[in-house]
Amino acid sequence: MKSSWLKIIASFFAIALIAAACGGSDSDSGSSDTASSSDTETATTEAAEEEVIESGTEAEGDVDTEVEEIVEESSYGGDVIIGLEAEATGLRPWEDACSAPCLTMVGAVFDTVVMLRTDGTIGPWLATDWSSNEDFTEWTFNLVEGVTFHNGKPFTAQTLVDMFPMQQVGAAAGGIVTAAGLAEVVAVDDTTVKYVLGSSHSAFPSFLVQTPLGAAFDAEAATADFDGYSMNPIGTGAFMMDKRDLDNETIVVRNPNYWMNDQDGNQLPYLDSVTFRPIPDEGTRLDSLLSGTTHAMQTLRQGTIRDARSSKEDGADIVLLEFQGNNVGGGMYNLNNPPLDDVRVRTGLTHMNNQDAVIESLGGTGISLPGSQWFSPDSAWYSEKVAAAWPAYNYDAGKGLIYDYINDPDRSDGRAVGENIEVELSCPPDPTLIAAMQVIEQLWSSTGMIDVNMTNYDQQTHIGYALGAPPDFMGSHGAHCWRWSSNNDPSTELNRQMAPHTLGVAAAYGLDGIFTPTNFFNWFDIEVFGWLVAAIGTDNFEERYALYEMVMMRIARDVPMWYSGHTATMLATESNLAGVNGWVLPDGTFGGQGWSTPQLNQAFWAN
Amino acid sequence: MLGKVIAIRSVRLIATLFAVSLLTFLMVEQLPGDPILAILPPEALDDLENIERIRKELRLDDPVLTRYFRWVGDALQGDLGKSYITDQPVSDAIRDRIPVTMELAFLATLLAAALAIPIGAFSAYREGGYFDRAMSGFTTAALSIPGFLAGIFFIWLFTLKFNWLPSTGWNRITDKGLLANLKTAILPSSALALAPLAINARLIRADMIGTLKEDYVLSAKAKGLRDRYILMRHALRPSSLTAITVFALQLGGLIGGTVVIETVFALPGLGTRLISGIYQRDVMMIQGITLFIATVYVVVNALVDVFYLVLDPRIRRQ
Repeated sequence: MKSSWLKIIASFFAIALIAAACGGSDSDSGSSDTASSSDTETATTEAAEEEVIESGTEAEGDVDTEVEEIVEESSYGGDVIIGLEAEATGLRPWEDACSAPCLTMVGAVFDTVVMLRTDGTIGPWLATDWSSNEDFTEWTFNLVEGVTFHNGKPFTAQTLVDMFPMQQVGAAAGGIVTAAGLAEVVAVDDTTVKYVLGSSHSAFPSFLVQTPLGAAFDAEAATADFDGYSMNPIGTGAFMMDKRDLDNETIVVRNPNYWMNDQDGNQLPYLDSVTFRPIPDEGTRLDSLLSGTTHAMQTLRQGTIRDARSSKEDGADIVLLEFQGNNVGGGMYNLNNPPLDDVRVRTGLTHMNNQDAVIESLGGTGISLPGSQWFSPDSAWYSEKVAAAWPAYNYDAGKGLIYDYINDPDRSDGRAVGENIEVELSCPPDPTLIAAMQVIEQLWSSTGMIDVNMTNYDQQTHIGYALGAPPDFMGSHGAHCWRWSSNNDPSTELNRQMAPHTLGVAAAYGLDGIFTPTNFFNWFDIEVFGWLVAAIGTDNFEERYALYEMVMMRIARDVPMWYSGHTATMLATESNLAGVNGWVLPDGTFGGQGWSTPQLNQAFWAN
Repeated sequence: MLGKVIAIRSVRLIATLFAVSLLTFLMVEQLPGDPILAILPPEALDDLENIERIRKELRLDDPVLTRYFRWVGDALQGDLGKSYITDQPVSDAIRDRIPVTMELAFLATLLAAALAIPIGAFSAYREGGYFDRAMSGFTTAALSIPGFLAGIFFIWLFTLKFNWLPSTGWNRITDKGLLANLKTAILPSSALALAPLAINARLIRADMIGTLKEDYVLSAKAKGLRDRYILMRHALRPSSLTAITVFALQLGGLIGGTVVIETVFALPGLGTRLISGIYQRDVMMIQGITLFIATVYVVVNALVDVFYLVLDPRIRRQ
């Protein structure tokens, strides 16, 4: 009797597991054995000797993966499954907000007019070359010939003209149209387009790197099916939409008519298909790669990078491509919220940021470079002078400044002399962020002069508190965890975030109508604003560098932020998936977003 | 008599659904932040006219109760609105995802039943024995371990160590067939099945211990009938009523319970959509899915009540 029951239980388990494990060979399409090339054609992607391919300059102590020339022999065929950190909200470039996972998908389906190089400069893509008039108010781009959309429609200058009305009112593109001051798009001829700006912008092409303004979409198809375009986007990219099963998998297949060739003249892309699979859980995403369920994964978390490194050390056959972009993490102070309106308090609190301990608590030691400004040491815009000026960890100096403030009879928070200040310290409820908050809170509280109120809100609420409500967007935050900057031109971030924070402030300085809800500090300095305007009035790098350095120096002095480290991101792939690192632009230079968003049109399975 | 009882239960059901819908709406309404901030990226917020246009379009300026009754009125006609973020109709999102969630819940219930019945019955039969004590330990452990933790353990064991099953992804039956589908469903549904398995095994054990002491069971034993026959024919059937009720109730609960498991295994079910809706502050999606899950739960509960009435005349008389 006893053995009969045990047999029943054991048999049930065995049948369920064997059936599940052995069944459905078609579902194995994602396994790595399908990666073996069909060997129909092979092509060598070794660069010819005369070609000069340069990567970004690596800073001392940098932990980035160096961008290297591809030396493997490439081959056509194979499928790749990539684990992404989330599902894309939508795939309409002009309409849908797009972060790293979405950009990965969008980058496979759409081409942008120009492309960012690894060194932060702009390189050719759909445009072969470009020039501007003297005052940078008109930009003329020459376009590649023979490009077609996935539906067979030709891509011409008129395409970009037709896109413009949708971009002007698009939820994602509208703000960028305004930031760029783009007033009109004119087709000069089939392969020449002119962008006319309302004011000078010497770095205008950097807006065409960005998906909302730069990605070429079929405006006619988008208008015909506005909502449906998100499920069935039509671009000119290396891959065409095959299946979009939301929250499960999005499959794109090789575009047989893709316009781009590799350095040896072989048509791209090499892969037959790419499957994007949203896997929100960081651990599961890594496990999926390690078990072969997926072939590649992206992460924006230092903890996952650490775990992946550990797995690799333990023998996992994976390649880790790490990126240390200009994006830097830390926190900011809201100047509308006393006592944070006083520079002594801001600087004092920043001095009491034990940066090494914070990075350690975030799991970023040896992964994330310490930040001192919006630019990473790799960046051409990085300044040693700013690094030296930023209020680095100096507990006693910080305590002294807070002491000065609380004993000031004119202190701004209205409290009595000698009374503690109260600061709200807020981060999203991520375990590592909470650990970092605790490091800071202990230091601040240990002065005996600061009452720290720690709060955690979900990401959307956290952003909402920093934004505030229309029409003033003042924000109710205090000391608030945040991230800044990107690898793109500094103007794309700084000019917007340092504009007047309310219409009233704008009017007071004679800048009627110029305001931004993204000035999260609620701080405006007319001199800084002038420098930023000057920086987009010249294309001389030295002049621009000097201006941005002045801006960063002023920020370090007046609105210092507590920086932790530069945002480390990673792409991890099976070891024989090549061409994800070291992909090249049509002019033979290395491309890269400095972010874990792979360009897959040159990826291939190495034999 | 039965008809009257069903009518009374139906009125209660409608009242409950009304309360659920109102609470759902008000709770989502209480979430901090302006929905406009979730709809538009920060870069687009400097266009104040656009903000007002969208607010008017979505009628966000209307009083709360006006919006509630409009939402309920539309929901009664099957229109749960459109996602503010993706523009996808909420009912489409539910329709696309409910097969995954239902299958997980159904498989978990099936697994739990298939294991709980023999474990419970045999534990009762061998009350106090080695098997009973071992299963008591197992059910305590199963109840103590959260489903998501079991899921992570299963991934480690069956994916990383043995590489038998995929850790993530979902093969739809319609696309890839039943076996391929089971391959992706077995781990999450097993993780989901642990708690109901433990509860039901304990319930059946307790019921059967009582049943096995009934006179008719003793008389069957005295007649010399085989133990297996007595267990299955005489003891299990009368002891199953409670378990069936609980299984049915759990099925409703599991639909909500898949939320975390779907996230761990990255499955395209209702839970995943609900979680991403919460992260994105996608008000219409949160309201719609929460209302749907709550409605399923309430309706299943009501059906179980009616089923119970049909099965047991004593309750009907009460």
